[in-house]
Amino acid sequence: MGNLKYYIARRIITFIPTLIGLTLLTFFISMVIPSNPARLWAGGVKASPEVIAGLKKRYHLDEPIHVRYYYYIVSLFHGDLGVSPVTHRPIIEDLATYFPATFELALVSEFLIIAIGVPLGIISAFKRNSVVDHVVRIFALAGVSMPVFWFGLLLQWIFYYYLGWFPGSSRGIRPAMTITNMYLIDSIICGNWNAFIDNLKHIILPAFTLSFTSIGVIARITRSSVIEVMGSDFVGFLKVKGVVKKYMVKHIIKNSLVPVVTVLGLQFGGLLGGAVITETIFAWPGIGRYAVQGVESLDFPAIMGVTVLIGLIYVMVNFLVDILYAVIDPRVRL
Amino acid sequence: MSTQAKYTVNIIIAAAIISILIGFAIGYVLAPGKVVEKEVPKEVVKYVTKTTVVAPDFIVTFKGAKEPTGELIAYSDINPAYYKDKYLSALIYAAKYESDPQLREKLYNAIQALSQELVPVIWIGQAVQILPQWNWVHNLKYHPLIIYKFSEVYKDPDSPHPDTLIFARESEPRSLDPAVSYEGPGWTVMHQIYETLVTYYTNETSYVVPALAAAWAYSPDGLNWYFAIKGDKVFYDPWDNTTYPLTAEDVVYSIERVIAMNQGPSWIISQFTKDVSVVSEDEFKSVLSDGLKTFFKDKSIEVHSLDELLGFFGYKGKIAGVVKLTLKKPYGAVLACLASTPGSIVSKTYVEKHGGYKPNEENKWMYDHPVGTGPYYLKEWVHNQYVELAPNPYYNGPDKPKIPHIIIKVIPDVNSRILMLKKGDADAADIPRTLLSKIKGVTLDYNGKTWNLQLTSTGLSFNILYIVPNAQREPFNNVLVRQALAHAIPYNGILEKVYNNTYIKLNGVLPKGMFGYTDNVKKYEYNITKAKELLAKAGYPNGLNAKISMLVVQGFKDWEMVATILQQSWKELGIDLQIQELSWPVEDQKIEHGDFDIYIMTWGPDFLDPDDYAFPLLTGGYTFDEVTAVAVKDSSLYNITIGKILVGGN
Repeated sequence: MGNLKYYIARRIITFIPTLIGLTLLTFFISMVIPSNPARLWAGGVKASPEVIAGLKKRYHLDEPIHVRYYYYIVSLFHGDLGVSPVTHRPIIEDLATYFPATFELALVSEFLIIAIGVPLGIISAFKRNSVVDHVVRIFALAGVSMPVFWFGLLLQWIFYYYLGWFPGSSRGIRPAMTITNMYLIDSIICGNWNAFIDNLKHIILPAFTLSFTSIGVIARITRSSVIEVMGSDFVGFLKVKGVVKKYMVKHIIKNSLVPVVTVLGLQFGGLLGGAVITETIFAWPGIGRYAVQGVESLDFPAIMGVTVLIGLIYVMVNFLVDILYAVIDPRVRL
Repeated sequence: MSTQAKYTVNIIIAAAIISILIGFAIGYVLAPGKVVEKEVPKEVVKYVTKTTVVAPDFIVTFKGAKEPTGELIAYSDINPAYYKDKYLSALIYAAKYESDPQLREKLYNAIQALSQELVPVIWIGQAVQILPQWNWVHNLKYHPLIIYKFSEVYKDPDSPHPDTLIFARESEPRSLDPAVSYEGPGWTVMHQIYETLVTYYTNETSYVVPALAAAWAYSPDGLNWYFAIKGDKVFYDPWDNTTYPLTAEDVVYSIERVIAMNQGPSWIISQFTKDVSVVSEDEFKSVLSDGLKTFFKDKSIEVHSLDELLGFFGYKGKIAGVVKLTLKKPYGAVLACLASTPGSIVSKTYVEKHGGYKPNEENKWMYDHPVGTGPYYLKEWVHNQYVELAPNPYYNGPDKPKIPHIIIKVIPDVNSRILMLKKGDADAADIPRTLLSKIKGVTLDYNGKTWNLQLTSTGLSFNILYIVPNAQREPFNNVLVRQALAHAIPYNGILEKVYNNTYIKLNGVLPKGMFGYTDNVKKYEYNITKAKELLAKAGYPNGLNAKISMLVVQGFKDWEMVATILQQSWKELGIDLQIQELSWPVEDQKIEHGDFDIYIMTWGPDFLDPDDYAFPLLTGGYTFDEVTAVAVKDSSLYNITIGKILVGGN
């Protein structure tokens, strides 16, 4: 396990230059775009010159780029991402409000993907070319081809409007104490069973919409990974040894997990980036919508904040996936 | 090289050369032509010269006119069309600085007439507000400034969730601080929580009524306005569960605060305010004895005592002090501005408890802890989810709430809003006009009754739709061409097909219902023959033969449709109209600096005064040392022949 520690340490060190590069890139790209954000922040065509001047001063808009980058990095080190001129809140607070909603949605979606996609993939691998296999193949194709907005609207129409089984939008009852701001977890902490059920009902449709594409993909990847492992040498050896089927299945699955874990990790990172369309359709107050609203209103501080956050997430997720790799497969720790 | 390869290379070279040539061709065609200042045509002179006119209602004179020079910002320094007209500008300034409402009305009538005569901006439509709502909702009406007064609304007892009004909207307030918020959702909520010195009745748009001020009066020179503050009002603080009484100090503090903070809507108050202070009752009485003017609706009188003043307004209660507002220059829209959200009165005690105010800075607490004297208080605000309001237990005004729970839900997707409305989970929802056909004839069975979703008008809006041709570019620098274009617009087609008749025709800069509006103006009907005649007169007997680019902001479906209709009808005038869709920030850059041919835009009121329309949309960039308007009493003194306005000066 000694190798593992060095491996982890090496990975952590690559964090820092990645993040610096990310902030630099986003910062300079956003500065290159010709626009007058202060005017938009101050009210567009009705903006008064005094207000615009005040905003320009507050956000250092008239100073040279390297000076502004300096201010930005300094405040970043103090944990201050600045105040949004559009939402009028500190960016940190905005992120703290909206990110947990996305995280919660991503968690539930990921759970659905793993709970549905992986078993389907394994079954279709073991029962290759059977009816099940074909159904899964069609399912996967449908998932990848259907546009998210259409699927989401369809679910909303069928399960909310027509059948009335689930609510059509928004989050559920806010629990009395919001510690994590993830309502499902907070309602468990509060012991509020009603809130938990209500939030579960609210999250099902958006989570399913979000996970649908990925379920198909994961099913296919699991399937091909399992098939590949089934045809490998050590499985042949186990067969020859006359090993019990259950034992063999366990080993096959364990060995086929590595590519599956990679994709799951990357998918989760993607989910955390915020699924704008799903969030918009289901009025889910997440990071995706916040980012798009920021872009539309030229809210540079917010855009920078979201970029840093999402960049951090991706780096973390990749890091965790790499570690998980190394844990599952000792050969990787070299 | 093989022949195959040689062949491919040749094709690539040929394609490159052709692309470069096409690029040059496009650049040449799109490059803006040179700017030529055309002479002001004779028809306009008929209105505005020193020598020609008969029995004017009033005379406007100006001194020290300065030409517009340098970087002019559209809507701020000059009208969006960059149309430079000295006389029209003088008229607009005269109306701006006039305190007497009767004279002001005449001035704005004239401005409206000129806006149709000269069409620097081509006026298309005025919005009729439609708020789709179930017929179990009553009294949910629209007001162009107050927007909605939830306190007047009630629901049928056998409707779904009869104690709660659920309103589905697209976006949430950006701030609940009246000195910061400069957007519809924020203003809608704040009108339920805060009150202003003066306000409007729900169905009234042309005159204000007392709210927190019991009475108002102004000095004859128009520079000092006095407000007697009602003595029985309290602020309700739901976080400390306490109340603070309203005094004149709070009014002074609120006005100083909104000006000092210098945020989005501050200009509405700071544009005219020089100084604000509390004056003692004795001092006020002594000023009154010299005589102050006042007015209410269409009655104007002069008063000499506090009793006379309060009596004129029918106020019998106590007053909590008097506020003196000193203006930079006399201004006709003082009351209208004070009725808007930045004129909301906050409690000095409360704000000072939570950080006070600093110049150019926002107050974090005030962002989401509004404390007002209004009928509701903020119960809960979950960001991007909902805003919940509950009745203010200490409210003692005339608009006591009837519904105990108001929930404004944030549902960004329009299809979701439609589904929510159809299901009855929302009582009312904002639905864009282009989609109203989707919810026609929707019914719901509930509690043994069949309910209907109504799409009737909730009131006239002051939002207007117009087209801005760049007056600094040919051919738009010729008034006859602009008039021709105005005659070539199929107004009925647009109002019917694009807006489902939820817009009415707009005849001039002022919307119907606005103080100063008049119907007695030149009107443009769709008449291609007339349009062609005007073009011939303007020197284009064979049509304009011009390629013009019309800018449309991305995402505004109705503007795209209007542009497409214009593309078709303007073909007959020889115009090849190219529709260019741009994102809002990019388009804003262009129109801010006059870098466009023509574009479509809308305008809405920040306060219900014609100055909020006439100035930004028509002013010619001129500034003056002095502009005065005088009502003419004895027309026999003037030797004149036609028209009603006399504008002259140097």
